[in-house]
Amino acid sequence: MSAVVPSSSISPLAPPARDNYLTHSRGIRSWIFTLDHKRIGVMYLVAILTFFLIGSVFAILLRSQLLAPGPALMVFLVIIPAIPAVLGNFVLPMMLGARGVAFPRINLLGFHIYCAGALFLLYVISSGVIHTAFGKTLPGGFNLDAGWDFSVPYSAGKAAGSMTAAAFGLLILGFSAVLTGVNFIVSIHMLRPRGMTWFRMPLFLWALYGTAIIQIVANGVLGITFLLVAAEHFRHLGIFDPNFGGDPVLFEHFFWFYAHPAVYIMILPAMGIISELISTFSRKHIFGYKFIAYSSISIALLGFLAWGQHMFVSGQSGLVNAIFSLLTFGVAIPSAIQICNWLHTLHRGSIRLQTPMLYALGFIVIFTIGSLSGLFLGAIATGIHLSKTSFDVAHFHYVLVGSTLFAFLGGMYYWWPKITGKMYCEKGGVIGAIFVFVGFNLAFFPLFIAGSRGVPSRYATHAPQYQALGIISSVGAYILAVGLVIALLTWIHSLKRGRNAPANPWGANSLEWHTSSPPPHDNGQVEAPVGDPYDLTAWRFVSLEEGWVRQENPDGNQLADRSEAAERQDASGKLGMWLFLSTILLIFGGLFCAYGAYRYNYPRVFAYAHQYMDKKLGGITTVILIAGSFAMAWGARCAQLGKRAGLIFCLIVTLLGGLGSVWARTIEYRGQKQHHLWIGAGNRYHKDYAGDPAADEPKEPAEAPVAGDDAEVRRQGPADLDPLAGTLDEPKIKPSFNTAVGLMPAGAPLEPAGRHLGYKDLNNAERAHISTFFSLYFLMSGLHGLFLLIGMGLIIRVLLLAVCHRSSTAWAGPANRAGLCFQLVTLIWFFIFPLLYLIH
Amino acid sequence: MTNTTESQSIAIARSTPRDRTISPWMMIGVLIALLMLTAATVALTRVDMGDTVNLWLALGVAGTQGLLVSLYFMRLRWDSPFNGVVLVAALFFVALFIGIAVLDSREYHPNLAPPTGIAPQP
Repeated sequence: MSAVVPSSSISPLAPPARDNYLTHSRGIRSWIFTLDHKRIGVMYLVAILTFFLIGSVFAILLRSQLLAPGPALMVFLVIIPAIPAVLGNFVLPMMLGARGVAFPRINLLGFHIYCAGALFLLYVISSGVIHTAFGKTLPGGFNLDAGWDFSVPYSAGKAAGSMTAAAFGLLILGFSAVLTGVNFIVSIHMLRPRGMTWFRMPLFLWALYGTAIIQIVANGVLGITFLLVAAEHFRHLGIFDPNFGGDPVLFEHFFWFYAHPAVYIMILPAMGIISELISTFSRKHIFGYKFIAYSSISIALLGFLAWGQHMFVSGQSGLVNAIFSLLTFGVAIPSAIQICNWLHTLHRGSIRLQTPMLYALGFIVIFTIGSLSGLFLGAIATGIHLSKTSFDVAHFHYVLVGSTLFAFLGGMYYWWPKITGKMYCEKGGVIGAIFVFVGFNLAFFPLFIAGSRGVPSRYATHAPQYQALGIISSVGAYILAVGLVIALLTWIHSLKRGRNAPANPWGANSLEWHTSSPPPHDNGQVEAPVGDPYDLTAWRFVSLEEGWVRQENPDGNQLADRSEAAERQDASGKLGMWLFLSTILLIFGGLFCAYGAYRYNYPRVFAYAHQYMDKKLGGITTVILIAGSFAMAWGARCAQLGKRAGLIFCLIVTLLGGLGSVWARTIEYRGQKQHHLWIGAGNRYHKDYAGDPAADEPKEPAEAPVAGDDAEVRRQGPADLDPLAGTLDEPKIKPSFNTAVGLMPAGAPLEPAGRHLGYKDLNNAERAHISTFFSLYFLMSGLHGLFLLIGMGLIIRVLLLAVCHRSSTAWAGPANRAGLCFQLVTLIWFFIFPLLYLIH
Repeated sequence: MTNTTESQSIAIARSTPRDRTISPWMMIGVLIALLMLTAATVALTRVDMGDTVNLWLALGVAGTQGLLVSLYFMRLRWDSPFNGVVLVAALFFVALFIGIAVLDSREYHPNLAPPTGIAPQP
C-alpha cells in the first residue's frame, strides 16, 4: 500500500499548459494503467455515462411498458458511484493542492474492480431482460426477476441462481466503493496542506468525507448480506429463507442497514456540489459554513439510524416502527439546515443564471419536494398507507435520482472546463437544463398523486381512472430524455468546437481553480495560497479568454512544505489499514447479528447443538492465535527498531501459528463432515437431509463392540437424551457432550441423564433450527479462516521484503500494517470461541 | 517515494511518542493476561450463574482480551487517536445493528409461521 505525498502545489493564474494530463502520455495502456487521479476520474465518467445510457434505454422501455428489468443497473452502476467516483476522483486531490490521492494504485484497482463488477451485473440483468422479452436464455442461464432490493424469499426462489449472480456483482462493486472510500478519508486526513484546517476545506470535501464513512461502514454489511443470500441459495442454510426455518425480516434488516445509508452515498456528495455552485454563482460567501459541514457528517451518521423506516409493513414490530419513525424525522434536520443555508446564501447575492447554477436551483426545488414527501413516509400513520405505492416511487426518484442527477449535471458543467480544457455552449446548456427540469417533474410528480390514491408500485399497467396520470408521466420521461440528449450534445460539441477554457472561468476560489485548464499531469508546480475557499473577493473578471484573475492576497498561506512526507506516508498507510479493518469488523458484525437473533429466540437450540463443538480444538486454536499475535507484535517491535533478523524470526513463528490454527480448523471440519454435521442439507438435522449416516461411518476395529444399527436409531429417535447414543459416533463427536465444560477430553464419562439438554427436550420449532446453528458455525469460523489466510498472505509478503531488502524502510511500515490484520483476526476469535464453543 | 534513510526512520521510531516501542516485559505481561483470561472464559462456563449472566461475563472477558490486543499488540495506545476513533465507531455501528435487529426479532418472532418441515430424527 504505497502512499503519495502532496509533493506539489498548484499555480495561481497558470497559463494553459502545453503538457497537460490529457497529453502527458499517449496510448490505450497509458490510460488503462494510469495512476493519475484525473485520468481515472475521466475513465469513471466514460464508464458511468455508458451505463447511464443503457439504464436510460431500459427506463424508457419500462415507461413504455415493454419490459421490467428493474432499476438495479441505474442504482448500483450509475447513481451511487456517479459523483464520488467521477467528480470526487477528479477534484478531491486538486482541492487539497495535492498531486494525487493517498493510494493511487488502490484507486486504479478500484476502477478495474468497478468495471469487472459492472460488466458482470450488466450481463446478468441483460440476460434477464432478454429472457423476459424474447424468451431466450443466454449462456449462464440468468433469469433475474426480482427487484433491486433482493428481498428474500423472492431472491431465494426460482430465480435464486440469478439473484446470487447479481448479488455477487454487487459484492464486487461494493468492494470498489470501499477502496474509493478509504482513499478519500486517508487523502483528506493526510494530504491537506498546511493552512488548510478542517474548517478551511471546501464543503464538497466535507461531503465526500461523510460519503466515504458510509461507504466503508455500509458495504461491510452489504458484503455479508449477499454472501448469506448466496449461501442460502446453495446450501439452504435457514438464515433468511422461511422454507428452511429462516427469518425473512432479518434479511430486511441486513439489506436496509446498507441500503438506507446508501441513499446518503448518493445524496451527500450531491449536496457538497450544490454548496460549491450556490456560493460561486451568487458571488457570495457560503452562509453557515460550519453548520453545513457538521450537517454533512450528521447526515452520514444519522443515516445509519433510520434503516427501519423502509420496513413498516415488513412485519417489523410496532415498537421498532415507532423508534424508526422518530429517527427518520431526526435525519430531516441536517438536510433542512443545508437547504436553509443555501437559500440564505442566495439572498442578496449577485446571482448568475448560468447552466451549473440552473441545475443547482433545480436541485433545491427537487430535493425540497423529495425531502418533504419523505416525512409522509416516515410518519407511521401515513407511511403504512403509502408504502409500496407509486408515492414511494416518486419520493425515491425526487430524493435520489432527481437530486443526484441535477447535482451531477451541475457539477459536470461546473468542472467541465477544468476536465476538458474547453468551454461548452451556454445556450445549449441552459436549454438542456430547462428540458431536464420540466421533464423530470412531469415524469414523477404525477406519481405522488397516483400513489396517494393507492396506485401500487411495480405494476406494468394503470387502472383506467389513472391512465391520464400515466400518460403525463410517460411524456415527462421522453422530455427528460430529450434534455439529457441535449446535455450530451453540448459536451460533444464542446469537445469538438468549444473555445479554450481559462484557468478560472467562474471566479471560484477553491484550489482546483488556481491551476490551468486542463491541469498539468502533476496538477501544477507553483505554490498557491491556501485561504478561505469561499472568499471570492480577490477575483476579478478580465475577459472570456482569460476568465477570472486573482489579485494579490498577502494573507494567504502557501501550501505546505513537504518535510513531513515520511511520517505522513506511514500514517496514511496505517489509517488506510484501520479503515479496512473496520470494514472487516462490519462484515463479522452481520454474522454476529444473525447469531444474536437466533440465539435470542432459540436459546435451547444453541445450548443443545453447541455440545457437538470440539472444545478442545477451540481452546487450542485460541492459544495458538494468542501466541501468533504475540509473535507478530514482537515482530512489529523488531521492525520498528530496525532488527531484521528478529523480524524474520517472528514472522515465521506467526506464520506457524496461523498454520496451526488452519490445521485445527481442518481437523474440526473433517470431523463434522464425517459425522454428517456439515453445512446446509449435508447436516443430519436439516429438513432436506437425504444422506445415510451409516454409509460412510468411520471403520471400527473388528473386535470393537457394535453399539447398534445407526439407521434403526434414526427411525426410532434418539436414545435417552443423546442424539447419537448407541451409534458409532458417540465417543468421537462429543468430547464434552454431557457437560457444559469446555476442554474436556474425548471419551470422558457421561454425567447422569438430565444434567444436559437432549433432543427430546426440544419442540418441533426448535428442532427445525438446529441446522441453523451449524450454518452459523461454519460461516463464522469459515470467514474467520479466510481472513486468517489473508493476514498470512500479507505476512508472507513482508517476510519476502525483509529477506530481500536490508534497508528497514522497505519492510518496517508493511510489517506494522500486516500485523494489524493478523491481530484483528485474533481479536475476533476471542468472541467466536465463547459464543460457539462455550455456551452454558 | 521518500528519501528518508534507514537511520533517520529508526531515529523517528525512537523519538516520536506515536512510534514508541513497547517494552518486552509489557508484552510478556499482556501475553500472560490473555492466556489467563482464556482460562477464565473456560472456567466461567463451569459456574452456573444463569444463561444471561454467563453470556455477558463471557463477552466481557472477550472484550477485555480484545482491548488488550488492540491497545498493546496493535499499538493503539500510542497510535493516532483517530485510528482509535475508527475502531470504536465500527464497534458502535456493529452494536447498533445487532442491538436493534435482535430487539426487533424478539418482538415479531411469535408471529412467524412455523417452518414447513423438520429434519428426521437423527
